[in-house]
Amino acid sequence: MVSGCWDQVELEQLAMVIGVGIDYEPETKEIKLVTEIMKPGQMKSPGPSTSVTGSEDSEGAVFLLESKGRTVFEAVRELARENSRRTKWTHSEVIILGKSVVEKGASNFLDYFIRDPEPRPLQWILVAETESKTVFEAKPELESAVAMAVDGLLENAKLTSKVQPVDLIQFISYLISKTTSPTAPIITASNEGDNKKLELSGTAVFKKDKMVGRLNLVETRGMLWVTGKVKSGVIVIDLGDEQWNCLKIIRAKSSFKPRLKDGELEVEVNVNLITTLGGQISDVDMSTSEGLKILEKLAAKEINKEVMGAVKKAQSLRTDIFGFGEAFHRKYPKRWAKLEPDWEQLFPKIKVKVRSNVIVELVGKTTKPLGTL
Amino acid sequence: MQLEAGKISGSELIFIVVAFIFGSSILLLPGLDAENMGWLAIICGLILGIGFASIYTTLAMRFPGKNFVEISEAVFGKLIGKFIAVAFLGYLFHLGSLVVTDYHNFIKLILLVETPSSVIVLFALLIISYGVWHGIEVLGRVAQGMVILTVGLTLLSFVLLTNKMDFNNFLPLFDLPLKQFLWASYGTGTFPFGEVVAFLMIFAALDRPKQIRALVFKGMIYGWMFLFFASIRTIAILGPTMEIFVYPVFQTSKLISIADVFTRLEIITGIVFLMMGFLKIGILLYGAAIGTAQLFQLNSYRTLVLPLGLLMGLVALINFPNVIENIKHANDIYPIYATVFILVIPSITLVVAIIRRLPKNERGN
Repeated sequence: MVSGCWDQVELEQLAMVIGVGIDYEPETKEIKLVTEIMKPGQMKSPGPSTSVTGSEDSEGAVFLLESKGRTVFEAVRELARENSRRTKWTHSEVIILGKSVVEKGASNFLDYFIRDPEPRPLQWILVAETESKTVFEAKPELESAVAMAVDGLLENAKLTSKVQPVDLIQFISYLISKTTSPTAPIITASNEGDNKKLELSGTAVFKKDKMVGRLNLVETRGMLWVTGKVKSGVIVIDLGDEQWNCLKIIRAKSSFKPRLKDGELEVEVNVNLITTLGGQISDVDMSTSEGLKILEKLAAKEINKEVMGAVKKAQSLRTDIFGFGEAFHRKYPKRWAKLEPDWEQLFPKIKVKVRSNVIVELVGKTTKPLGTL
Repeated sequence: MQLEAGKISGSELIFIVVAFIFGSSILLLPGLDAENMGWLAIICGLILGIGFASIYTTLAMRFPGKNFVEISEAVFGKLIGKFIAVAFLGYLFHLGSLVVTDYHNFIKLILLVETPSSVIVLFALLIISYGVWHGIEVLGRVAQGMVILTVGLTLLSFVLLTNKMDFNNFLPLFDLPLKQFLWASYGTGTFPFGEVVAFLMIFAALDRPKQIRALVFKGMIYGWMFLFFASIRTIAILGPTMEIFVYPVFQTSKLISIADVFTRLEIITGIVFLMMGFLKIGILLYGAAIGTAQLFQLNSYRTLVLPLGLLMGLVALINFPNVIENIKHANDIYPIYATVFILVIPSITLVVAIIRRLPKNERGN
C-alpha cells in the first residue's frame, strides 16, 4: 500500500532491544535505562558452529546502551543520540526493575511499556536487588544474551516450582486489583571469579507498587501450592539421621476455598499430588507398601509446612499475594463491600487450613536403595 | 427511476448484516462499561436491537422495493419527507465518518504510526469508494468472502487464546450498579445493533422482499455470536485490566503465545477490523450516496460516491480533537444521539404510515 512509505523501516536500520533494565536516581530525579541490544550478525547459531568469522565466543553478540530521562519514553528516545540505529522494542523479552525503582513504586515506570504500541505485554518482569545494570553485565555461558538467559531461567522455573514467573500484563492485573499484592521473581548476579552468574533467588513481594519484602525459595513454593501453580518439582523428606527420601512430582493439583463462618475468615487449601519416588539416601528400604504410606504422610506434612511458611510470611507483611481477597469477593459479593476497606487488617487474621493428599505411584527403575545392599 | 439495477440475494444480505454488526465493534467492543457482565449486556443489546430492527423490517415490508428516502416522501409528503430524509442521510454520513475515525485511529496508533492522517484516510476512502462505485452487488459478494475469512480468523485466535483464559474473571456476577449495567445494555442496543437502520437504504435491492425480516434477524444473530465470543474472550483473558486499554480486543490478541512459536498474531485482529470496517463504511457511504441521488433526482448515484467519500474522510479527521473525546462520545453521547435516528424517526414513520393507511394503491401506479 502506498501509504506504508512513511513507516517503512529496513531491518538493517533497526537496533533490536531484547532486554531492558530500569533504575531511578533520586538525586537527579532521573530515570536510567539500560538496554541490551542485539548485534544480529554475531548471534550464536545453535548446534556446532562452523563459521570462521570468530563468533565462537558469545563476546560481542550484544551490547549495553544506557540513557537517562525524566520519563521512560524520554530515555528511550535519548538512546538515539548514542546509537546509529533506531531502537525497536517489539522483541524485548524482559524488564528488570532495579532496587531504586521498586522502592519508589514500579507503576509509573511501567507506563511506557503498555502505552506504546511496540513493547509487548508478555515481557517478563523481574526485580534486581541492586542496580539493574549489574544483572546485564553478567555473561551467560550458553546463551548469547542476558535477556535470553533470563527467559530460559524462567522457562526452567517449572522444574523446581520455586519461582513464579510474572509477565507485564499479570503484574498490571495485580496492580489494578484492590487487594491482591503483586509479586515478581528476584534475579541476582553473583560474583564467581571474573564472571557473574545469574540466579533466580526468591520472590519480591509488593504492596501496591512498592516492594515491601521477599519470599525465599521455599516460601515461594508455599505460595505456588496455594495458587495451584506447582507443576513439577521435588519434595525432600527428612527421615532423620541423614536419611533422605525424595519424591518427584508427576501431577499436582491444588486450589483454595474461601469460607466465611460467623464473621471469621477461613481459607482451606487443598493439595493433591501424584508422585514418583525420585531418590533414596537411606539404609532402610522405604519402597514397601508401608514405607510408601509413611512417605506419603511425611510429604503431606512437608507441604503443609511450606504452605504455612508462605502464609505466615505474607500475613506478617500484610500482603495478599495469594488473591484471597479476590476469592472472597467472588464468593461473597454482597458482604465484600464491608470486608474490602479493612482487608489489610483482616488478611493477617485469616485462618488457613491445609489438606494435602500425596500418592506415590511409581518408584523409578529400581526397587531397593543401593544403601541396603 | 431505478438508481441501482443490482440485486443482492438473501444470503448476501445476511453476510452484509454480519459484517455491519461486526464492523467497528470488533475493536471498540460494546458492553465494556458493564465490566465483567459485558457478555450479558451484549445479550440485552441484541434483544433491544431485534426490537429496533423489527420496526425497520416492518417499514421495509410495507413499502417493498423502496428505500427510506422514498418511504419518507410517501409518508410525510414532499417537503417534510425530504427534510426527514436529509436528517437521516446526514446521520448515515456522520456515522460513516465516525467509523472512518475509528479506522484511522487504529491504523495510526498501531500500524502506521508516522504516516500522516490524511494519507491513511485518503487511501482508505479511495478503495472504499471504488467498491461502492461498483454497486451493492459487489459489496454483497465481497462481504461473503470477507466474512468467511473473518469467521476463520476469529475462531483461530479464540482457539489460540484458550490457554490464557481465566473464567474466574466472570465472578462475581452483578457487582456493579444496575444503572450502569442498563446504560451499557442500551449502548449495546444502539451500537452496533441499532445501526442496522442503515439497511433501510439497502432493503430495496433485495431480490426477495418478503424475507427481509427473517434475513435481517439471522444476520444480526450471527453477528451477535461473534461479538458474544469476542466479549467472553476479552473478559476471560483481561479481566479487570480491560478498562485501561483503548482496544481491549486487540490487546487480547497480543497475548497469543503458544510454545514461543505462535506469537505476535495480533495482526489477525487488525486484518479482521480492516476488512469489516471496509464493509461498514462502504455500506454507509452507499446508503448516503444513493439517498442523496434520490433527493436531487439524479440519474446515477455514482457521481456522488467519490465526493461524498472524500467528504466523509474530511469529517472523520475533524470529528474529535483527540481520542479521549472520541471514547467519551461513544460512551456517553452517541447512545442518545443515535436514538433519534434509530428509534424515533423510523417509529414515527411507521406509525404515520399505519395511520394514513399507506401505501394505498400500490398496484394502481
